Amino acid sequence: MSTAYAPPGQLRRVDPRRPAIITPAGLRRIVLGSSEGERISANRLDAPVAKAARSAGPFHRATMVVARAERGALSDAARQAVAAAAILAPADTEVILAVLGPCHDDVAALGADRLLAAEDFEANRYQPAACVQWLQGLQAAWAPQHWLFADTGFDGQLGRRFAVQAGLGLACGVVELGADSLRVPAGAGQDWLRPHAQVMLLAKGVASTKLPFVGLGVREPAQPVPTVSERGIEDLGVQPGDPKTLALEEADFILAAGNGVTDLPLFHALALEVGAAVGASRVAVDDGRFARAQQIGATGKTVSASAYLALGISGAVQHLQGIKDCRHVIAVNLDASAPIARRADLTVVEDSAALMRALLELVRQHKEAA
Amino acid sequence: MSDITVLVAARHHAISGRPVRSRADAAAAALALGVSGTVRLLTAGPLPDAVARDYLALGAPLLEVLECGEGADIAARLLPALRDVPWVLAGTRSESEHGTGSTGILPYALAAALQRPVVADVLGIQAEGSAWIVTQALPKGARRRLRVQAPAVLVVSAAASPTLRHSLADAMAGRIVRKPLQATKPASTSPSAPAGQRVAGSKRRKLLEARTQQSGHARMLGAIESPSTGGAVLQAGDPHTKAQAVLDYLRTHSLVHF
Repeated sequence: MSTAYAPPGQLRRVDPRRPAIITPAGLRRIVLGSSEGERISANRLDAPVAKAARSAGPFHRATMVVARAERGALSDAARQAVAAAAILAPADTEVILAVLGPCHDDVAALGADRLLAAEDFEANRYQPAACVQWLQGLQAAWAPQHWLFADTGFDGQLGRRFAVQAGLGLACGVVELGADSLRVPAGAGQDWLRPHAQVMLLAKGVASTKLPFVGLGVREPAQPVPTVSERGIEDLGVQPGDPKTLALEEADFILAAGNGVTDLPLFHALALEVGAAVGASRVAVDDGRFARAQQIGATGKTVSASAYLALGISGAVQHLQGIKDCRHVIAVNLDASAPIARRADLTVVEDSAALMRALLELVRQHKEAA
Repeated sequence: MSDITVLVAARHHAISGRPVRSRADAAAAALALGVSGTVRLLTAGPLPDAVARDYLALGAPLLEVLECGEGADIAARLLPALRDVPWVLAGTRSESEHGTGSTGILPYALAAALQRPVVADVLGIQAEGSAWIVTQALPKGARRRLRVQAPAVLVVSAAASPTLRHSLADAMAGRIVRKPLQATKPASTSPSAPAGQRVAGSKRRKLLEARTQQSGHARMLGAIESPSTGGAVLQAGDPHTKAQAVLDYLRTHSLVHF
C-alpha cells in the first residue's frame, strides 16, 4: 500500500510521494490503493518531459510546406507555416517540409515529419522557373493536399508563381487559419471567410510555434533543383548591400553602441572592418554621438538583422522592443545582470573599448590570413 | 501605340475609405515614364476621374479604363488589351489595399496567360537597346541586375521610391478613355475566387494554436517561469579570449564572411 496509515488515535497522513503513472496524455495520475507506477520526486517533475510524436504513421496524405533556408536556418514566418501545417494535419497526413538550401534546424521540433532539402540550391542565382519546376516535381511525387508558404519575400513569390503555373486554388495573405476556414483581408475594413485553398500563403503571426508534440523529422535528400533557362532574362549578378548606405531596417549585421561606448573612432573602425551597419541606443543618440536616424528602439527603428552586436547597451525595454526580430544578439557589457543579458544569446562581461580593440585586431588578422 | 503599359488601380484610403491613388502603382508609372515618354496607363474596374487625373499628373498622356462588372475576372478583361504590349508594369499590392483576397496575384496570372516571364521586386529600369536592365531588390539591401528582353511583366517593388512628379498641366491635358463592356459578351466571373462570406475586419483574428493538455503542476510552473532565460554568459578571461569567443560565435553561425 502506498498510503501511510497511522495507528489509531493519530492523524492520518497522505504520502506525498505516492506512486503515480504518467498517462499517454502526459498527465500524472495517482490510482488510490495501487502500488504500481513510479515514485517521482518533485524535482524530476520539473525536468522537461519528452514530447510525444504527433502521429506515428502510416501516412496516406501529405501537406507540403515550402521555404527557403537562409544560412541553414528557417525564418520565423516559415516556422509558423510548418507549425500551422502540423496543427491542422490529421493523424494520417504527413507534414513534409521542402527546403531550398541546406537546413540545420531541428525539424522534428518544428513539427515536420519529413524534410526534403535541396542542398545544391544556389541562393544567388536567378532561377524562379527552376524552383517552380522543382515544386511541380514534388507535386508529382507526393501529391500533397495542401501547400503552405510564408507570405514573405522569396517564399511568397514562389508560392504565387507555383500556384499560377500549376493551376491550383490560391489564398494569399491569410491572416487567420482555422480547422476548415481561412480569413483574408478584403479591403474596406472587411475580411473574407473562405474554405481552405490548395495553396495558402500565410501572413506572419497566423500560428503559434509552441507545439505540444514533435514530428517524426525524417531527413531525406530531395531531388536536385533542375536547370531551366529563364526565357528572355539574363542574370547580371548580385551586388551585396553596402552597410554604410543601407537603411537600418534592411541591414543584416548591426553594431550598436550605448552609453558604455566612448571611443567613437574605434567603434566606427570596427564597424567598417566587420562590414556592419551602425546603430545606437537612445542615450547615445541624445548625447549627440549618433544621428537620430541611427536610433534603435521604441522611439527609433525596429530592426530585423541576423546578427546584432550590442556594445555597452544595458537593454531597456524600449530598446529590446526595437531588436525583437533580430536572430542572434551578442551583448558586451560590464554588468552581467543587465536586462540585455536575458535577451542575448551570448553575453560577454567586459569593457567595451577593450573588447573592441581585441576584436578589431582579431578580425584584421583573420582577413590577412584569408 | 506605346510599348509600355502600366496597370493602375484605385485603392481605398485606410482611414476615410475613399478611393485614392495607389503609391505602388504611381511608382510603377514613374519608373516607366523615366524610360519612355509615351506610356499608357490601364485599369479595369471603377476608377473615379479625380484618381485618374492624379495618375495622369505623373506625366502619362493616356489612361484607359476598361469597365467591368462587380466581381468580374479582371485578368480576363485586361488580357485582350495587353496581347500586343511588350512591357507590362504593375505595382506591388500590400495586404491592406486589395479587394479580392488574392494579393498581388494579378501580374502572375496575366504573365501566365500571356506566357511571359515575371520579374518581381523591381527597383529601377534602364533601357539598353531593345532590352531593359532591371534592378531587383533582394533582402538585406542586396541588389540584383537582370537584362530582360521584351515581352515581360515587371512588378515594381514597394521599396522603389522614384520621384513622383505632379504636373497640373499634364493632369488636365491627359486623356481618360473609358471603354464600356460589350453587352453581347457574358460577364465571366472569376473561377479562381471561391465563395465565401464577408466578416468585419475589426473582428478579432484568432491565433492558430495546438490544443495542449497540461498538468496543473506544469501550468503553475509556466505562470512563474520567465520565458526567456538568456544565453551563455562569459565572465572569465582577458579581452582577447572574449573577442575570440565573439568571433567564433559569429563564424559558427556564418554571420560574417571572413
